Amino acid sequence: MAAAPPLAELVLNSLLLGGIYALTSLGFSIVFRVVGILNLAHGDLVMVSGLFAYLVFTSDLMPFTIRLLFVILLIPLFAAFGLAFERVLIRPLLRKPPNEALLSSVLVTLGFSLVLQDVWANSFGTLQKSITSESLGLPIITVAGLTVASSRLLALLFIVIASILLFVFVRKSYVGKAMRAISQDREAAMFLGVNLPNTSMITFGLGTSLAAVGGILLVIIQSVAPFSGLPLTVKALAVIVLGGTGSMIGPLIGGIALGSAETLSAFFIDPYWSPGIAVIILVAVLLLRPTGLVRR
Amino acid sequence: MVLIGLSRIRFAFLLGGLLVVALAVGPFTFLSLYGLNVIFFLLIFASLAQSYDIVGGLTGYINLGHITFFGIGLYAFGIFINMRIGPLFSFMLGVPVVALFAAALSIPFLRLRGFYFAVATLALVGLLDLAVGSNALAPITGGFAGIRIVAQNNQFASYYLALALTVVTTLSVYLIRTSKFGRGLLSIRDDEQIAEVWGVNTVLYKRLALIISAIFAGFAGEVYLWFLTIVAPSTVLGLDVTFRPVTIALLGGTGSVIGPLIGSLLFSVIDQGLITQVSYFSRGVIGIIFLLVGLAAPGGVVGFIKTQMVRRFAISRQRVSRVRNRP
Repeated sequence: MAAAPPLAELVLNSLLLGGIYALTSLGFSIVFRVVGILNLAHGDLVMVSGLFAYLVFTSDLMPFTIRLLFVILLIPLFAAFGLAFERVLIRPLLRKPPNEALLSSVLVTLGFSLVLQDVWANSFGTLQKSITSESLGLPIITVAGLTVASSRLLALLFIVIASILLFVFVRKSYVGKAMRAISQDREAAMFLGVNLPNTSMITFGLGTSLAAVGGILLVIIQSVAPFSGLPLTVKALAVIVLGGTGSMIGPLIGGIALGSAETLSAFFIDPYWSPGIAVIILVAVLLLRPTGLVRR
Repeated sequence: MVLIGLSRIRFAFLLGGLLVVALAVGPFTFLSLYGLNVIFFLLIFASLAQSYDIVGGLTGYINLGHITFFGIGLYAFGIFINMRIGPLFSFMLGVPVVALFAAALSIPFLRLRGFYFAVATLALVGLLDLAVGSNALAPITGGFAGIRIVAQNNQFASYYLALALTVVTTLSVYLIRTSKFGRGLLSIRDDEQIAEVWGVNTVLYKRLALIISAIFAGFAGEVYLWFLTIVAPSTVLGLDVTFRPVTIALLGGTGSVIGPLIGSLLFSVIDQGLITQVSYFSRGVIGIIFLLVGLAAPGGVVGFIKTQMVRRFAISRQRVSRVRNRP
C-alpha cells in the first residue's frame, strides 16, 4: 500500500481501527449498563477470538469460503460461552451486597483474564499473530486511485453489517427493548415484568459475541497477542468515558475518535506512544468534563 | 489470648514485637543470605499491600495502579542518587515527589468511582511504563534496560529500612483505623453519599488517603532500588507486579490491619514454592487466587477465619441457650 496517498490511507485506517474499538466498547458498555459489572476479561476475549480466527484462517485444509464460515461461527460460539460465563461466575456475585459485589466482580473477571493470558502464552506462544491479504488468498485491489488490500474492505463491510444488526436487535427485538428498559430504570423494568436475570445473561452473551467480532476484525486489521487484552479493556473504558454509555451512538463516536487519535499520532508523532493515547484521553476528559461520568 | 490474661490488641502487639525483634536479629543469627533476600521481598510487599489497603480496604477504592507510586518513588530515588546528592537526601527528596504525584493524580482520578477508578488506575501503569521506557527519558531513567545506581553493598541497611517501613506502615494503618480520619474513610467505603451528607469531607479524606498510601509505597520503591541497585521497568511496572499488592491484600484480607501481613506471608510461600516450580504460569496462579477469593471469600483468609469463628461461637451459644431452656 505504499502507493496510496497518505491522507486517504490514514482515513481508512482510522475508520477501521475506530470501528473495531467501537464494536468492542459497545459490548463492554452494554454489559456494564445491564448486568452492572465491568467485564475486565473483555479485551482478552477479543484477543482469544482473534487467535481462533487466526488458527482457522491459516489452516490450509479448506477453501476460503468454508474457513470464513467457520470464523463467523465463532460469534455464536462466543455468545454461548458468554451465557455460560454469566450463569456460572457472574450471577453468584450479583446477589452479594453492592460493595462486595464490586470487589468480587473485579477479582473474578480480572482473574479469568490473567488465566486466559497464561493459558494462551503457554500453548501458542507470546508472538503477535496477524493475517495478511496474501495469506488469505485475497487480491489487492485499486479503488479510485487508492490501493487497498481487499481483506480490509471486507473488514469494513463486516463492521458496518455488525453495527446495523446490533442496532436493529437493540431497537426492535423484545430482548433489546428489555435491555434498554433495564439500563434506564432497573426497578421499574422489574415491576413491568422484565426478566432481569435472563436479560442479564443474554446481554452478557451479546457482549462476548461483540468481543468475538472485534477479535476477528483485529486479527485482520492489526494483530492479536496474549498480553494485549488488558490494554484493550482500558481502551474500551476510555471510549465509553469519551462517548458516554447512555446511547449506542456514544461508543461509536468515541471508538472512531480513539482510533483516529491513535492512527494520527502514530503517523505524525511516534508509534511508540500510541498505546498511551487512550490513557491521556481518559485523563483529559476527566479533567475537562467530569460531570456525567460518575455513575452509581 | 485469654489464658495469659491479655486483651486481643495487647496480644497482637506482643506477638508483633517479638516477630520484629526476631527479624531484627535474624541477619546476625539464623538468616542465610537467601533467607535475607526472601524476607526482604516479603517485607517490601507487606508494606506495599499494607499501604494499598489504606485506599483499597479502608476507603473501598480499588486502586489497581498502586504500583505506580512504588515506581515513581523508585525512579525518583534513582535519579536523585545518580545526581550524587547522597542516599539520605535522595530518600528524603523522593517522598515529596511521590506525594506531589499522588496529589496531582487525585484531581482527575478521584472523580471516578467503583469500576471506573479501578480500570483508570490500571491504565496509568501502562502509561508510566511507556514513559520511563521511552527514548526521550532514557538518559535519566535508563530506558527499558532499567535504572541503575552505584552498588555500595546496602543490603543490610535496606533490609532494616524495609523492616522499619513495614512496622511504621502497619502502625500507621492501625492508628488511622482507630482515628476520626479512619472512621471517615470507612464511612466513605460503606456509602459515600451518606458519608457526605453526615459531614465527612469526602474529597479531602479520599485525597489524603491516596497521598498517605502513596508515600509509604514510594518509600518502599526507594528501599527496593537501594537493595537491588538495578531495576528494569518491566519488573516494576509489568502487569504481574501491578497486581501483586492487590493480590496480597485480598489474599490476607482487605480492610483489616493484620490481613496484608498474613497475605504477604502466604504469597511469598506460594511465590517461592509454586511459582519457581511453574514460572510459566505465574500470572495464571495470581488469576486463580483472584477467582477463588472473588467467588468464595472476599474477606480473604482473615475474613474467612472470622466468619468461621463467628459461626462456631454462634452455634455454641445456641447450644448453651438450648440447654438452659430445657424443661
